[in-house]
Amino acid sequence: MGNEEQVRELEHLITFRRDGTVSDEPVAGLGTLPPSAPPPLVDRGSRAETVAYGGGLRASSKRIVLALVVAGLLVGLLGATVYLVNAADANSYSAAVVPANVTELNFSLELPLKDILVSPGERVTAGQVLAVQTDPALVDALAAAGLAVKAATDRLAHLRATIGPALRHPDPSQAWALASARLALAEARVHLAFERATVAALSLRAPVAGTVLRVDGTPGQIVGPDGLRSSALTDPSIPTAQVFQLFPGASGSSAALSANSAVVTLVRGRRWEVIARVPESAVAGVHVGGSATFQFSDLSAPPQPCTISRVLPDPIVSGGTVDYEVVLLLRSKAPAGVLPGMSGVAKLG
Amino acid sequence: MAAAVSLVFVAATLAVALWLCVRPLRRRRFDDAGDGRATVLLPKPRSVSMLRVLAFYATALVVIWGLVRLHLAGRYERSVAAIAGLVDHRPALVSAYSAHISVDLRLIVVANVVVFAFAVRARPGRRAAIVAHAALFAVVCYAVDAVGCVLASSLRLTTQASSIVSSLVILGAAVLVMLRLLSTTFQLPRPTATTDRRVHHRSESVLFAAGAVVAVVLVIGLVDLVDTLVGLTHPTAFLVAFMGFPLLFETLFAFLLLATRPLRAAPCSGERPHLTTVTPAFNEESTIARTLEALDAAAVVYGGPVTVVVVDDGSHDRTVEVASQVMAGFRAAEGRLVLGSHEGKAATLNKALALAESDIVIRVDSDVVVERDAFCFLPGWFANPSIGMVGALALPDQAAKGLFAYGRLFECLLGFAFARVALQRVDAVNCIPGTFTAFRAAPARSVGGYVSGMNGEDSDLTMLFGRLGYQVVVDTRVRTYEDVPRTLREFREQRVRWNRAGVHILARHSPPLTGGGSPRTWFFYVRSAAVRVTAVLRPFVFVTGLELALLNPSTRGVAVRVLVFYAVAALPTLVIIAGLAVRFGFARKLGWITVWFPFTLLRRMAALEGLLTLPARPVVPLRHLLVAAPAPAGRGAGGGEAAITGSLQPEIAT
Repeated sequence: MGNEEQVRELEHLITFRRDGTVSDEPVAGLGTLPPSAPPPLVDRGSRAETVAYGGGLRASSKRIVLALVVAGLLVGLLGATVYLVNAADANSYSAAVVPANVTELNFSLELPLKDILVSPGERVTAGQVLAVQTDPALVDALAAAGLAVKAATDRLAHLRATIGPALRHPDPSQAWALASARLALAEARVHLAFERATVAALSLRAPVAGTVLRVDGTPGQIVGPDGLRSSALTDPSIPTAQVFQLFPGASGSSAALSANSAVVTLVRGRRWEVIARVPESAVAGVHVGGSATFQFSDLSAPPQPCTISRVLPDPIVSGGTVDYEVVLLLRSKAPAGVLPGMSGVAKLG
Repeated sequence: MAAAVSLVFVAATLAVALWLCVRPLRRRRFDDAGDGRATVLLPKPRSVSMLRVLAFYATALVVIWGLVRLHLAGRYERSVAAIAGLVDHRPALVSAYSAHISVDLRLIVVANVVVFAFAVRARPGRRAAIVAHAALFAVVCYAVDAVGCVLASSLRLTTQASSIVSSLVILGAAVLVMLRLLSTTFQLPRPTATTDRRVHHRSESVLFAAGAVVAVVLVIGLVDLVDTLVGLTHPTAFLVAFMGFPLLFETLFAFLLLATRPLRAAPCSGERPHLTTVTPAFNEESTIARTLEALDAAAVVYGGPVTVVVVDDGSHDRTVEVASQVMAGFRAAEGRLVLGSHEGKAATLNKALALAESDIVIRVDSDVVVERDAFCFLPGWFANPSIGMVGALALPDQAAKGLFAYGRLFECLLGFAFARVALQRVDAVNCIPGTFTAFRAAPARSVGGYVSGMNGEDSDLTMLFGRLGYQVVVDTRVRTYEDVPRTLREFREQRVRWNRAGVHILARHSPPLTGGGSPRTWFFYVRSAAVRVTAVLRPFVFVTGLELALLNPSTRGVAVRVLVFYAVAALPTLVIIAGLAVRFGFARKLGWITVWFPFTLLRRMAALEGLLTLPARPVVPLRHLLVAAPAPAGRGAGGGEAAITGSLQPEIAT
């Protein structure tokens, strides 16, 4: 652009006068302003200046006092609001509602899962089969035990038929054979009963009537007394991989990976409890047996009266802060529509 | 005893760190080979691509993400607790306060300083010096937080309030470090040599201090209240950065408006002294006719003698031809057109100033249209001998539409009809823009006119009028309409220039170097650095808010609350804008208020871009430090007036 700019050797001044005449004259020395003395100093904002011109440029003492009073009132009002809000929120903690009587059901044998016959939310009766395991060897063993009983029964019947009328007074050899057959039959029956009991353990039954809260597991997964294996890492036959961490302990421990879960979780009754997270600085003031209230966040229900049931001693460490879980029991019947995990605010004391 | 020793140690560390921050601000600089008066001689700034700015933010985000992944927050909190524990032997209590420190804010500032070192065009030594600012800031943070934990536990503050206060203090520390970084990193103009003749009035400083205290207390209370009500697990520091800074200034302005009497409006009647308008023109064929016609129309309404001076700065388009045609048809004004060579805006303005024969001169840019009654109110103001300069309510061209036009409208309302109106009550207006500036000719000539060789000649003249003891006011009845950028490229070009000017003015009128402890200089000094800190922070606030709302599992469920909080945070500013829009007849434009958010974001990004265009200072090699060398000839002469005193040694890399 610099190459396109006009270079004028001599500057011109064109004047367009109001009488319509135009003059064009060369001028020089316009570029720099000659140094000149600054004009006399004016005390801007002086009392005399303010009075003479009514500028109001100076803050008057009355206005300053007024402004400070108004500002003080504002600060006081805000402080009072903050105090009241904080006071209203004192001893209030975020919490969630969970069923009070929860039973976790697992199989007694560690075998593959065949099927889960119920789904969450389903009402079940006592003795109802909830899930079944599969083990062909056990079924075969049961069949074999049945056959063994049948064979022992047949052998005993054959002996009885052979001995015939002398059954009441058999000779010693016959009596020995008869006793052996009876013993074999008894053993076979015991074995059959055992096998039947074993096979019965392949079915997970509801011990009481209730509602299914949660099911976990897919056919083929290994389930046992400790529940469902959540990860292959827990299998002792598989070596555990060492996870590289710059700051071990900063994140969750590996224990979380090996946690098992129940195959079927059953809720008994309709009682609910609330679990509130209370910071360590306030947990000392929590008294078991004391009263509390729980307000659902998104359920239009009045605050529910509760009783502080217990303080779980296992701390929750997150971001450098330590919280404890405080369990509250709802004193009255829970409002309609409550589902496990609904959140709210628990106010203790 | 051990606690007392520890307290002394922590306090001493903090004092040394602060001294290291403040010390360079009082050093003389000699990058400018000019005379300290109307000539500044500096290397030309270099343009920066948008890609570099975006790369800065992207890299900083990655670095911040990396720092967060390193789980430094927990380590920082523990180490602060350990330091504070040396003084206060209540580890549980001190840990509770340290656990609520918003470490993210500290990490973001540190990451940004480090990334800035690589984004700026500089030699490795200078980059290393910039990185050292991050270390200095970290030391300040450790000391401030340790002292803060001890004080908070002693005063039994709530952990939330303690967190907010510490965030504000850390933001203040960031401003101080930013001032140091600006002063030591870039080649900037030397301090002005114009003597400060202003008669200082203590009431103004008292008012400013009182307003600042009130503003800080109110902001802390409000952020605490909103934090409690909304109940987010949202980092408090971001809230302070987002909400606290604008609200601090707005509260301060409101306080000043309340605490001072309004200026008596000058009537549009009485004497009609001779006025001269000066307009520099360079390739303005598309806008000059409109500007001159409006000036003539204003001269008709004014009724007194008006001379319109246009100085062509060597245009290569039809500017001269168009201006001649319009001037030939003037109804009331006398036209004077100077045909000159291209010498830059300041030289052009000074030519016009040399030609002006009246006591009152009005600078009007060549893309500005003035209202018909724009001249009427000026004689009333200048009848007061203490009034040196009068500004107008600058507004964007009313026909313009779009993000930049509406954003500029709201910015003008907030900046002229609120901020400047408040600041003029205590004589703290730091810039009357060149779009329309009415001023006394004699004082302007006495300081050599407009300064050349740097950006911000309008702001410089405003500051100089303040030093000469004149009052600077803004009359919102005088309205002007200016062209606004139509594209992002034009917007960036304009804002980068303005932001560079801000840094130039900050250096030329640095209070530690030039004296003149008036609110005009001190307030501008602090605010200018604060703007540059928030320029860096604000985009991260948006990004973090988005991340919290969309990606973070722990806060994803409260996305609506995050949005509500942002709305609440911006509410005071929006309410003020809405009130001003209604007051000045722009209520119908309020439908476009949402453009305020992207507009301010782009404005802040341009502030960063403006910094990157500044030439960096060379670093004095270590061997030169070992051999005391005399100052280079022709440099370090100083301005020769009372304002320039003290050591004249060249500044070394700090």
